[in-house]
Amino acid sequence: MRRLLYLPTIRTRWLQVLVGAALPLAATLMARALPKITTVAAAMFYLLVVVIAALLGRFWGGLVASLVSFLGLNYFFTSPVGTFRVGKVEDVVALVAFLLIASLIATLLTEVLEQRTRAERRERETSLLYELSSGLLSREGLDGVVEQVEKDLTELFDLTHCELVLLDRMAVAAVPHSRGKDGDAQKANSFTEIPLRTESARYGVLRLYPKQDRTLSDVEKDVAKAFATQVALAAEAARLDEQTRKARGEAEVSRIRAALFSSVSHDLKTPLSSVMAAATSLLEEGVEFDNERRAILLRTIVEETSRLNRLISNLLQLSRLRAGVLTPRKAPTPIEDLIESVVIRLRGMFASRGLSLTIKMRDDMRPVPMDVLQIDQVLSNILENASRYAPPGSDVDVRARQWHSWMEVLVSDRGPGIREDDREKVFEEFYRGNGGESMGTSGLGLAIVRAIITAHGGSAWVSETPGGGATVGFRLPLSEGKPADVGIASPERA
Amino acid sequence: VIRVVLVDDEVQIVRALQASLEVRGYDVLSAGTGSEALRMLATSEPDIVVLDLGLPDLDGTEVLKRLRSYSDVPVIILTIREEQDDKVAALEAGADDYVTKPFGMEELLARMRAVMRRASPDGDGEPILTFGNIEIDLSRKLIRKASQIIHLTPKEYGLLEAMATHRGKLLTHRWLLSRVWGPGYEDEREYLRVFVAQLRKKLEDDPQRPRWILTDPGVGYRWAPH
Repeated sequence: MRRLLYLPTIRTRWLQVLVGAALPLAATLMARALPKITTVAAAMFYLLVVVIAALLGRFWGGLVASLVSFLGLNYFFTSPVGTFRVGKVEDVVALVAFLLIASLIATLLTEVLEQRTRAERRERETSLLYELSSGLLSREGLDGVVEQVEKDLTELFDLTHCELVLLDRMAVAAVPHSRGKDGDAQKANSFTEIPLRTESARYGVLRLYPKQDRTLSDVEKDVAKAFATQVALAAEAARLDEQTRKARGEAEVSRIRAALFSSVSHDLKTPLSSVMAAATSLLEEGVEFDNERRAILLRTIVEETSRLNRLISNLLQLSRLRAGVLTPRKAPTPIEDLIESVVIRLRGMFASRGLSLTIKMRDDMRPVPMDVLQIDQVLSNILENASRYAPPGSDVDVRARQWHSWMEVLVSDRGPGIREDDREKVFEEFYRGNGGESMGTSGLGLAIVRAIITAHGGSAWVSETPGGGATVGFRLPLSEGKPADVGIASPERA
Repeated sequence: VIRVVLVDDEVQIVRALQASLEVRGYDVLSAGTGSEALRMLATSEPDIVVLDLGLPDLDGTEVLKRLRSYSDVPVIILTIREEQDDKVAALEAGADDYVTKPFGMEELLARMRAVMRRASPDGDGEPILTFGNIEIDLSRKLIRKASQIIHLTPKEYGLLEAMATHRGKLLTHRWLLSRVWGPGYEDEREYLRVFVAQLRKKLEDDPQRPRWILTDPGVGYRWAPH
């Protein structure tokens, strides 16, 4: 019997009335078809019909069925049959009692059914709210749930539609959604607006557009408010999260900046210390210097001053490269001219460290489009770097060769080499390899190399010298513009 | 002849310092790495060590700790301003003083003389220390200033004794707190500030311009070397 409670419910008023009228009429026809039926049996039959009508058509269905049944019983089953007149007093009492019972059943049944519907809806609301809050907390986040909330609420409250407008996209939302036909939403203009608010701020609004013949009850508004609160809390959490992330990012940047700053100041102050110590030592009165020691101190001052100068120009150059001020002014230049001029300039420095420089290249190579001053610096930086790491008495090789549409220049030393993990890091600013500090590197040379070569459309890399040591190489496109990719990521050389 | 061991990985500064010290009559040995320095320190019996903190292989503070495990030789560290934390760590590990790069030669020489004077055994075993008009009788815990007896609380006396028996040496906040107040008080710098102010009021002629208790901001205090 409980199953009867789950008969589908008719929601439209005129259909409810129609069902309420049609069922007793059908019952009358059926009862009349039976050969002999007592008044009591007919009354019971009508009562059953009223119950079914109330189940299907709720209050209005039940009430109409009660009235029609009352009339049917009166007309067809009480004497005199075929009239609405009633002969006996007890029949009058029975008919009135029937009408009262039928109406009462319809009313009570409707109440039970409505309660069940409300309970079901509350359950649905609760579970939707739960889904919403867990959705907000989990991976979906705010964006993922906006559409879902709109859908859920539309369904839950039987709306034409619903809008969830978050503050930071107010501009987008200002264009009215016209999901209803012919923009009837705007025409109706009757919606309920609920602010998305937490204790500290407002994050947007929730707009509910009920169907034309309906307004939202207070209970429904409360439920909608619960949804709105959930969304507002999530919006607030998202905003706080964003702030935290931003703060963390800023802390990271300032940490890197501090490391960089410390590195620069170390690099600048180290040569300054030698200059200062040597100069103040020479200036002190009452100390007799022999020629040899005086020369040592003066030479230290000169060397360290030029080192400082190199470092400062490197710093300036790097910052100009970074700012994009130094665009290469390219002109076709024979690579051998460049290599020879750099090697001649640096030969003295190599000799003073007991190093020899060997150039290996063919003499029939194509000129390379380059900014001569910049590529001069590239090669100088690479060679200076090699001179610091190469052990005294060893050989440093400079080679140049054409490789498809590229010109490749390689500088190989026989020093300790660079670990595979560090081969990209050496191009970072202020990176020092193991023991790099002892050689007085500025940590900028290779960063500048890469910046210039990249601006030329080429690439720079570090690999191992066969037999031990580091090889720093770069290549430049032989033709102006973007050369065809040769499809070889890391050119290995024999 | 005073023997100096110079530890720095910068060839140029070693060269400049070596020439400058030799010309002033010091005997100079130099090392460019931490491990080389440890070997040299163990075998050469230096009178003073000048140690750079940024060495390629071993941290300068590590070299210092190992040196301190067997020797009290005076150590001056070379730092740059940005290495404040390393500097304090090195002082706690037993360095006597520091010089900030870039420095003038006369400054380094003055510091070297000061820490060597401390190391010479003038104060050891001597029950009465005299600084200007201040007299500290260590055996009787009696302080006189211009012959007047000065009354100190036990903590004030402890602080005074800690500093006066290490004159010229830069003592870090943590070292002083741990020594006078005991372990667990290392971070209570406010105590130190208050007690130093009290001591200065009682002992210094002009507490605003102290002659004996000198502040090294952010690092600690030292008793003036002379």
